Amino acid sequence: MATAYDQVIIGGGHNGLTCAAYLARAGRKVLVLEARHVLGGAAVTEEVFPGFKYSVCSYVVSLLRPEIIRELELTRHGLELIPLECSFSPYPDGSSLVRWPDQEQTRREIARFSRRDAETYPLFGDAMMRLARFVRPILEMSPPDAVDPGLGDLLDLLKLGRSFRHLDPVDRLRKIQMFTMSAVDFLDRWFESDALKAPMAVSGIIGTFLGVRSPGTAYVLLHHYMGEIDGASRSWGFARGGTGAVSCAIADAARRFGAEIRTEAPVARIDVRNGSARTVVLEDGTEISARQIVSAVDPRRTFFGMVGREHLDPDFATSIDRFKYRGSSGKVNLALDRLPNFTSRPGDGPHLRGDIAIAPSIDALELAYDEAKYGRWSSRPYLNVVIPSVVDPSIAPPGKHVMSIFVQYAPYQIEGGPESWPQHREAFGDTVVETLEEYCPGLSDSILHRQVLTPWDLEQEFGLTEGNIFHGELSLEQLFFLRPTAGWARYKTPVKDLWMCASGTHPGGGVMGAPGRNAARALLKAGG
Amino acid sequence: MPIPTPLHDRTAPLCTSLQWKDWAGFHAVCRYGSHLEAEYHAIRQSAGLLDLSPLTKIAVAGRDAAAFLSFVTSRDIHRLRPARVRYVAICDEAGKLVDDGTVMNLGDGSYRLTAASPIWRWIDRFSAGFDVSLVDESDSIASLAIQGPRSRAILEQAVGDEIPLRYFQLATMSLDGIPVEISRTGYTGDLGYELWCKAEHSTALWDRLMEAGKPHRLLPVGLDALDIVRIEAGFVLQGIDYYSAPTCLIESRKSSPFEAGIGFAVDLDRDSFVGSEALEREKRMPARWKLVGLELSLPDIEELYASVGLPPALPIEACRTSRPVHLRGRQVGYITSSTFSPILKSAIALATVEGSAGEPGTHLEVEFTIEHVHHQIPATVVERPFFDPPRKRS
Amino acid sequence: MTEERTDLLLVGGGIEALAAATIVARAGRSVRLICSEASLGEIDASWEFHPGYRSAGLRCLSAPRPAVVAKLRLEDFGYRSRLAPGADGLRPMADPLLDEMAPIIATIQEFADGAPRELIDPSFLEMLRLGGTVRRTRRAMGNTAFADALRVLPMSIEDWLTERFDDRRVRADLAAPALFGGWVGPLSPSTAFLWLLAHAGGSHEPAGGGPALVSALERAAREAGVTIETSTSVDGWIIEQGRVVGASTDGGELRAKQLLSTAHPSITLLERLGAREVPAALREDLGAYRSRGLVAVMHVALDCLVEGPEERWIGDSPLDWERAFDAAKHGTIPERPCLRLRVASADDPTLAPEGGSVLKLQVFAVPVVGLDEADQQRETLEARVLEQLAQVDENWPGAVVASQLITPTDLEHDHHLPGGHLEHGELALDQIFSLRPCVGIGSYRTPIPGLWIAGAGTHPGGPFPGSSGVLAAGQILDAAF
Repeated sequence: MATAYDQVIIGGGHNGLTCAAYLARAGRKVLVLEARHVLGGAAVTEEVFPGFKYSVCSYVVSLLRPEIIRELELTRHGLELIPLECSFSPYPDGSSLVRWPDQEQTRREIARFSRRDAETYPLFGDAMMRLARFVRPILEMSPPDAVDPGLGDLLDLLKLGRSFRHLDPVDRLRKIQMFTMSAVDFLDRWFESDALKAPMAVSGIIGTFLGVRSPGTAYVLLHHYMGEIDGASRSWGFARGGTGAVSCAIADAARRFGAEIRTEAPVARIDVRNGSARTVVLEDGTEISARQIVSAVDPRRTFFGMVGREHLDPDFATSIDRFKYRGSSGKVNLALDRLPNFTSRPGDGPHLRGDIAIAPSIDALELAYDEAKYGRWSSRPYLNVVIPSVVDPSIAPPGKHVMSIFVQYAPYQIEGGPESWPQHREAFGDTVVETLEEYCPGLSDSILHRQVLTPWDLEQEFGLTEGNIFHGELSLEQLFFLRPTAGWARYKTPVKDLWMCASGTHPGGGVMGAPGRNAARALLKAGG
Repeated sequence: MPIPTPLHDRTAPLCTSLQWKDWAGFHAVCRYGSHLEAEYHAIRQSAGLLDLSPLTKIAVAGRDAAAFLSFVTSRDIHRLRPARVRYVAICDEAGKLVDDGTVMNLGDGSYRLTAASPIWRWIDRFSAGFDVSLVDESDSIASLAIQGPRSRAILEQAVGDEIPLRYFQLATMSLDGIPVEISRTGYTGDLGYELWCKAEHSTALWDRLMEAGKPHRLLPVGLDALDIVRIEAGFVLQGIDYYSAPTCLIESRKSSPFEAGIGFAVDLDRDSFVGSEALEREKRMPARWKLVGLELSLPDIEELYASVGLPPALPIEACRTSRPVHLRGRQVGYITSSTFSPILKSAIALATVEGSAGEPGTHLEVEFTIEHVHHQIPATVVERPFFDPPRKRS
Repeated sequence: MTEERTDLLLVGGGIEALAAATIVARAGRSVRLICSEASLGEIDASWEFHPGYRSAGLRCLSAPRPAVVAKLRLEDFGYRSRLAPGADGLRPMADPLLDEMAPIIATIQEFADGAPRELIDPSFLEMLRLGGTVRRTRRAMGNTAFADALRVLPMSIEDWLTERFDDRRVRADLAAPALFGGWVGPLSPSTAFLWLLAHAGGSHEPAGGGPALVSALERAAREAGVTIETSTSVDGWIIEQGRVVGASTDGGELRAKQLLSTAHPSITLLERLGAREVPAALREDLGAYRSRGLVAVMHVALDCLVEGPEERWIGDSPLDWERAFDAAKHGTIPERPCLRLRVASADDPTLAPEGGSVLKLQVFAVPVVGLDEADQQRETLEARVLEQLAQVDENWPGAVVASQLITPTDLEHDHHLPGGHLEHGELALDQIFSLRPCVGIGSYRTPIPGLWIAGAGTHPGGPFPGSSGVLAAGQILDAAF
């Protein structure tokens, strides 16, 4: 029987869809199989409460590759990105700091906490820009093969080395220090005020099971300076219609190029016959064949859940065992009757049009992490809040609002085991609302609907192993040529004709689309 | 969003053109009326009044104030006598420009450092070991400039006394009971004065000056007119003619004071200061880059206009667009600031060119576009300043 | 007022200073060594902390590197090494890991043995050499193992050990050596590297510990002709025309052609220099050098003989150690401090009278706090440590004759250790080898001519006693004499 498809992609998350779009664009016959009733994976919009569209999991877009937006013509397919206007940090004592795109305005804000920091802040930004400009090409490349490098890999390494050498020695040391120092230690070199350092440091630990004082968290500070919206640097933003709009636009592009997409088509396993993975079997028993299978789910689900350990080389299986997930975050989505009123900046205003960080101090952030190590969610967690309806009226009825709260830390391995999370779900949600209400009293009265997602829920509902939002921790030992494991970091797997294309591969998680694009290109180059 | 200066209540109603810009986070008037020429001619023919409050001002006091300033700027401030002002460059450890400004010896053992952009944190880095206090007074001190041939007369009338200030001299006076420091300095290359007072007194000072200035045709003047006259005076502007080194993403954007044409502000024969080692090395070598004055050939420009049937219509407005400069067909540099000078009736520019092409008298070519077509026209390297009236120093 | 023209003035009385002094003196130079304490050895010296009971120094030293022993001819002066006491059964468990990582450890040792290599701005030749080192290491390990080593280096020791060991107690004991140098707990990233670094010190120790090594070095130094003056405290360096020409002490000015200081880098470069002499960039870099001490040392005199293993780790599980770190991280003392317990008198019976013992405890983890707070914490901390000891042997608390607790705060105030860190600064991937203490201090030179710096706060950093002194001496001889 002739194979029906060139590639079948398991998982309709934004990376799977991106991969499908690029393959279809190159003329391949592609099928995407998504288990849920909606597309997008964790980049999804759902009307969980009538009239209110939640970006259920992922809530901001930052590093969505401009190449993908251009090449797939996503704007034509309905994608509109609205930049976040600012970063608002309220503090328990009633003060607050807002960092604006306007440098001078930001300087005046910071000066209220520290004059020195106010003048240092733009210099810090300049220094980070100098470092970040060489990181971007890394996002687009297939990592060199560390185990068995060929000439091409050595050339890639040389290129990397050259860009490192382009930095002057001060920047080179800084670059190294970004990978060895903690976010706090790194920031301590530049800034003195806790009020500024706390919200800056916290970007270093989002989605990881580490604290702001953990070594190696400094490099994520660069992400903030790498974001791009519409080609402009350093911007984060919302997608109009919720994060799902990104996935939908990519899906539309894929369809336009001829890809077929099926929802409510969960895959039970990948059939490995004669050492080759060319058939997927759906839960209802249907068998679908292709020349290649591309998995857009995380490595553990792919190799143990779908392929089966018996088909894997034992060393490879061990290395996939060792690939760590450790979900550390939860999400609370609220439908609100009215805007929250922050005591430190009452009323409506531009400060609500960006992201709001509840990160009162470095000690508080570190305490939040400490609690999670011992199997509890943080009693006063770090919260990253956005109210996208403030700039995107399409997602809520007039005058009402959607609030998206990212919560850290909520460890998957909670006392009592992860399966006990459902018992704690509401208490967890209460902790989040209570914490936030300290800064905007009256919040709970305005809640029309509350959706709480624990790491367990993220795993059960969205297929994110251990609730890790990045398909695997983004820690140094699991990045670049080590993602998901050395020797298999170029989207190919040791199982013949089985490829990977999602956040469990380089360059990792976030709504970037880069893994999907890189995988498609690698596959096409390999003759797929 | 910019905020108002202490003088906003006076300047805003007068700015009928509604043309403002953001200067260091403050609203600053570009031009008051729509007719820029009037403001320009006020500076050159009568007098112009400018709000310079967005300048950075830092009070430097303490036993080691002079030693500290000598360390952190390019000049030996020990040699700056009381009631005197000196133009300085501020460099980084590699001898590259961070900013330029002035240092005033206020006579009571303290000094004031002024600069175009925030500099407090930069100099504070070097303050360890100096018995010195650095207070950023930018918000609490307002600054006005009165510049032009009638400026002395107006000021004397406002003060009610003679003002025997020599060029780059400074005095503390009282104007209607308002304590004011008056320095005979300016950014116009003309006879002129800068006044420094507490922010809360600034509007009263403005009013007094405007009143005294009325019979002398004193006009409030915006930054656009200032741009023209400062080019005539040959003065460089940070961010336009050179870039502040800490903000540069790449090395090639940085300039030393020698390269930016302000090498005269560097005192080398003294104890080491920040950047001195690099500057000494640089001075011993032939200049790689030079900031020069260019005079574009107006006859050639007029001929180009004529060739397409247009009368010559050079806009009277400073231009900050970079234009390539060539020598016999090879690009040797670029123009950073240019303008038509009404008083000189010539097209002038500040340009950064290779050192060997920067000798006065060198003939270069500059791009000039007319009716969307590129041409090359001759330009000659000339000494700066382009305009240097005797009254400036008299 | 002494105004000799000594060739080299050595300021510091510890192992590195003695090593450097000996090498330079043997090369025929006139060397004068001064230190503020009454006797040599600094924190590695032995002292009587209670009548009849002596301490064995504050650190648990590894044996100096073979090249260092050879260069100093230490064995001629009574130095002997011995196999370090491993906790029962523990060493064999670590062996598979050590075997796997042997080439990495060998590379670490290679770096420690050699002069500091330029890592940030290497010349073309230096780059080739670095590339060669990487290639050699890779070849020795095989590609797969090398890639795995790259994976392991940034990991936490707990994660790495979890891949192999299910038993929490085993993991806790195995992990512990990694925790005594950085500002880390077992869950902190990069502790796998710190573990390898700790084991790069090798499996041997000086017989008689730090004090014995100090004695051998003192003998060597005196034999080489080094003039030693103790009880001399230094106010600052004497600078003339931008050059350090000596030190001003409580006994007058001491001048020399070169000056080598083995004090903590911020003492050498910030405290003892006028602030204006230090370039702003260097001051900032030194300000970023992290020296947060976490380890207190407690000597306990027991009037009984201690049975059982000479070394023990006390901490039931990795989370216990992590909890201890968490407490100190927030400026408090842990409920259950974790301990490295050494029966010091088993190695050196002269430390205690007949029938008595001396325990040397390194306590993890204790924060640096203000003096008042440290005093308030002291009693509680001592009590908690004794509670931990009672878990090992219920008879011990009753047998305690005396104890002396030296906290990181004490180290900071009484022992010239800013930050209270026993190794003059944290061990970390960016504070190791030529990056230690910061860029700009290359090959033991400082930006100020005439002033050299060595000691635990410089290359190589880690369990290599004497290496810094010997290498610095080599650099000074090459450059200045």
